Amino acid sequence: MRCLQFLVLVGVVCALASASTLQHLTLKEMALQSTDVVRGHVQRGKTAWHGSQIFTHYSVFVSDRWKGNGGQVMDLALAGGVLDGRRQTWAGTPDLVEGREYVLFLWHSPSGLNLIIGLSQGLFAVDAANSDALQASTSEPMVDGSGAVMTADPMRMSLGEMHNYVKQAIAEGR
Amino acid sequence: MMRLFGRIAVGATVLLALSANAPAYYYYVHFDQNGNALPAKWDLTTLSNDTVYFYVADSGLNTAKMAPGDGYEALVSELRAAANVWNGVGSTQIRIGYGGLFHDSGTDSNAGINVDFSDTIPPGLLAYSGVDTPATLNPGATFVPITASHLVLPAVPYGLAGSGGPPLASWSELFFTTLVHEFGHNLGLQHSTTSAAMSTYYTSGATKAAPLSADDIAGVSLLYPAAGNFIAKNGSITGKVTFTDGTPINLAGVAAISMNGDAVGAMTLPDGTYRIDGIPPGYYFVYAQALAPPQDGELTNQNIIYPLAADGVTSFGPTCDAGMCYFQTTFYPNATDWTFAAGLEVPEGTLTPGINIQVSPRAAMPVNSIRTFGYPNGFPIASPPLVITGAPQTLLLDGNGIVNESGQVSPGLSIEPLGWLLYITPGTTEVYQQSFVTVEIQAYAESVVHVVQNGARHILVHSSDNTYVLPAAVRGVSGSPPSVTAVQALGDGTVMVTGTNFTDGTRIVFDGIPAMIVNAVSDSQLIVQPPVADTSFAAHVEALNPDGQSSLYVSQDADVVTYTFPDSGPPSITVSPGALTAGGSTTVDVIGTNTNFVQGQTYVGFGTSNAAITNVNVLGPGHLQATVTTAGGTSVPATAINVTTGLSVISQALGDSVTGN
Repeated sequence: MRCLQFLVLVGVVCALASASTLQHLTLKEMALQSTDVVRGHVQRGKTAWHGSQIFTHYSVFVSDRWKGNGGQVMDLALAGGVLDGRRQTWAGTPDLVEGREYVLFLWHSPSGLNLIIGLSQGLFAVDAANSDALQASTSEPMVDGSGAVMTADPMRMSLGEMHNYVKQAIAEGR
Repeated sequence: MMRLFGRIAVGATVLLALSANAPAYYYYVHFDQNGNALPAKWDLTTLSNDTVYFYVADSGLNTAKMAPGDGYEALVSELRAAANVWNGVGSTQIRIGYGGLFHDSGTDSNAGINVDFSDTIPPGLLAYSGVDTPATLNPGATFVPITASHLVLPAVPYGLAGSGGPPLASWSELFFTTLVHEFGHNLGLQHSTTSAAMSTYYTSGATKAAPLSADDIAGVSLLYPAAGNFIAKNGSITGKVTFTDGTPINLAGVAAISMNGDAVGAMTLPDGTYRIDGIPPGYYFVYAQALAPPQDGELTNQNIIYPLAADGVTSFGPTCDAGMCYFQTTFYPNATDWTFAAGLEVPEGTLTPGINIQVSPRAAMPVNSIRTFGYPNGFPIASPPLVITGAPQTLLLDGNGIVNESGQVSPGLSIEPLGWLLYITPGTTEVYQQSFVTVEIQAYAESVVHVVQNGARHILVHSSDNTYVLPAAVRGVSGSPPSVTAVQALGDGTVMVTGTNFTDGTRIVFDGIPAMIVNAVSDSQLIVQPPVADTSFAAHVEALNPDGQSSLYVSQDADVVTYTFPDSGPPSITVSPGALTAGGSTTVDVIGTNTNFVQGQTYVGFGTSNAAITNVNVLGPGHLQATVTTAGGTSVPATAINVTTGLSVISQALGDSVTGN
């Protein structure tokens, strides 16, 4: 959140973060810029070349759709993986846990890949023990219904609250 | 000072071994079956002239969406300038060469660094780098070879998605330091903890005029040591970081920090041991600090790719103690207050062992990832603040934990310079806006001379129960930033650059490419020979001073002065023969019209690493011959040639006339 607020002062100073060079997105921006926002379990699939990049594909079995018109099973591509005897490593790419449930803010690229928006910013794990709790992709403390913290950039939002927020953001953005 | 250095450790020192087997800096580490830590690196024995070439995709970039006045050629020239930063490190053997443009056919991957413009970058991700390594380790290997690397930039330039701000200009400070950073990744460097070029954005103190710190230099020099023995000319420290119960800590950040210069760091291995090499001789404090928690969009602490076990799957993150995965920042020997730390004399060519630090575990690290911003001309810039004289300067900090949820300065927060050269004006710590805090910082009158002698100065951010060390938070300088106010052609091919605060070491760059200083008329006028450019090309002109300041401190990106090159007609080239000999060597003759080939400044490429240029002989401004060796079974048309001189890039893919005979 801090970068966005600082933009008022510094223009694009905060637009960059290095390594994987990230631009912070607010939840509203993610909701508006995503092509699909879904909740579902993931299952690891094949790895494949896309140009000179290796992508690891996952199937997302959608249990709830907040945005988009895709089907019950969506393909999700994450940069990196092992293929043809080659390991390709990209800093900052998330590693999804097979069978785990996530809320995913996805972006359909012009070349046809479904990618997580903001590399991992649009990835939230659903707590298996409490379906109304989300975990930031950053493997930091849980965000639960009572508003427990999400780390460095507290979001303080439960799954239900997030759903409502996304719906409202999309409605306002129309 | 007497109090401190009266306690300088006089522990046993031993002559250094001449090799650096331990991963002192932090690289992409793989553990083999025997527990040896192997860094991923380019195999110099397979590179021609120790050079890894980078190739820039000739398509994919949406130039219409770039900043006003920006363009493909300008971006390529900034890429070349950023790569060249690493070539300025004399103590490393590896070099980054410009291999020219390549045509991204969708499947090819050059055996080098591939710079792509991709639509696979979703909103919120502005650039990223990756390295290719073999999927399995070779038995007995001492490193993991990087076989290719990637630097991916968005097809639609920075700034459009999400922020609502304008696209980031290719000549800007941030774009340049980001490119330097990404090239570091391409060489095999990971993030450092010392606010260096290889630190994450959240703490980096790099500037366009002085992008590399001693830590960056140590990192690349230890991975690819050059003849001349970098280690023997610097010092080393080894030790171990453990929790107070003796549990060794993996991935603790450890740094040697000098009051008068850069910090040099390392991270601990799973057994808690560390080794810092490449420390310039001098006096240092050594401290252990937990890696910062993941920031927006990051997945791991400090956005590090954790070391990988021999199974290729398991990775080793930071050690936790009863669920507590952070620890109290602690100076050697076990002091949480730096004034009780022991100063170490680090002589050249010696190893100081036994610098062990015990730390108390913590459940969290509320204050972390602090970045400072300068405010030199009434607007914030991404570079560290400058301290010139005893006059107070504004120090603007952004980071976690410094402002509470009520918008107040977090209780117990205080900011303190490391050492006795600077001080914070009492009562000046206040919230600037949201998560930002400002303070006034200034030099003690008697220490001004020491402040301006060197660059990096450091601060400590104290919270109620911990301290966060931020290296390179402030930069000591001897004068104001340079400016460029006018650029005028003098009619003989040279250009008069007018501005302020030019010094002996001032460099004038045109879209990143240095101009030759012909005559330093005064500290406000320089006559320069600009680089070669195509007809009517408008280049952005900047002054870079050796103290790390640039004219971008004075002019915001959109206001940078441009110079438009004379109208000379569109360039074109004719090449013969029309195809390269597969599996053999070909001498290609190039006749140019409206070209200005220059020996040593003209680069030739054929769009693929399968065609290696072994020699370029410039016979005149419109005539050159290039010797090309092509891999067997490879068919390369000669019209795939691209010729780059200065700011001029001639390529069929860019719409230039390139014909074959």
